[in-house]
Amino acid sequence: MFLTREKIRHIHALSDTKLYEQALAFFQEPDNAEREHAPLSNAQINGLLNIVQASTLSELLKFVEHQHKRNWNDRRICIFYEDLEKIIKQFRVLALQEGLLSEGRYTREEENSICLLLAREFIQHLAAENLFRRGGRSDD
Amino acid sequence: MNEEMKIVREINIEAERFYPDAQKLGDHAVDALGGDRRSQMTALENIAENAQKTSDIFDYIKKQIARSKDGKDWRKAACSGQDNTGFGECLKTYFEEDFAKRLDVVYSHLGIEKVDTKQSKAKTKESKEQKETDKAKQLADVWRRQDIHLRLMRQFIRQMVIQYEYKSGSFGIEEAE
Repeated sequence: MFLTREKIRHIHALSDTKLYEQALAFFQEPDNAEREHAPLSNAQINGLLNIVQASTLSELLKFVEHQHKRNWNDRRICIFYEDLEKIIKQFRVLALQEGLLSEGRYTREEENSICLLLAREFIQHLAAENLFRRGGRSDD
Repeated sequence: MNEEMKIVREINIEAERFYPDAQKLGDHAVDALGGDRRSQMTALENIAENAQKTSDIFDYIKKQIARSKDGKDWRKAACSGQDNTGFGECLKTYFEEDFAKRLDVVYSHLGIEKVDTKQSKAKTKESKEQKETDKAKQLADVWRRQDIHLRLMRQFIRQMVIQYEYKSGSFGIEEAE
């Protein structure tokens, strides 16, 4: 069993620190104004939340990739999903840096499970921040 | 005194210190939610009691603010005072700012070091064993910080909810219905 109690606790600690801060930073004004992330509609963000709770990592990545390749009227939505995809793909590096995966000694299954748990934590925070920033606005 | 006792003692000292703030926010909750919305407060208390991460509590507060209409419920300002900030925003800001400052004091009283990633990167000449020991200690400190943070948030929320129930006279109303 690779997902030990220690690893779950470690992921929880990361969730409260790095991942939470990263989710807040996602909506902050970027240096490059073209990379601004506008909050998604409630339907979009809840859809993303449902996907991450019920999918595998590859299904999640497929969904996010599909979303960013769609023809959106608002380009910021495309950028939102594009940058989200980059962040999810970086979770493998984070897992290695944090010792959640041991260099050269992990299986693909282990990597996917850890990265999915990190993605769940991140997207939970992203969704809460998204809803908060949208305020009481209902979907247009 | 063993470590757990020291933590409990520090938490109790802090709980006494932030009691007036919890009362103030409990009063604000009465203004915002009224006396008949006890479930809103008990739901927050349940989230806090069962959360394994402090961010779960922050996420819940943000969602409650998002669900409220302008000037109502979690977005309603306190009746007394000139501040127009809503209840949820006040609670969130309190946890993010005042509370966070006090946490650093608690950690230092308990001898829990702040994790300094720059400093640890600068130590390049350490042996592999030393680095692993340092990393394990850092991680243990992160866990201790998280645990204490969570316990203090729970304590604060309990005090705030009790003040809400006391002020609104709502305790037992829902059960009796």
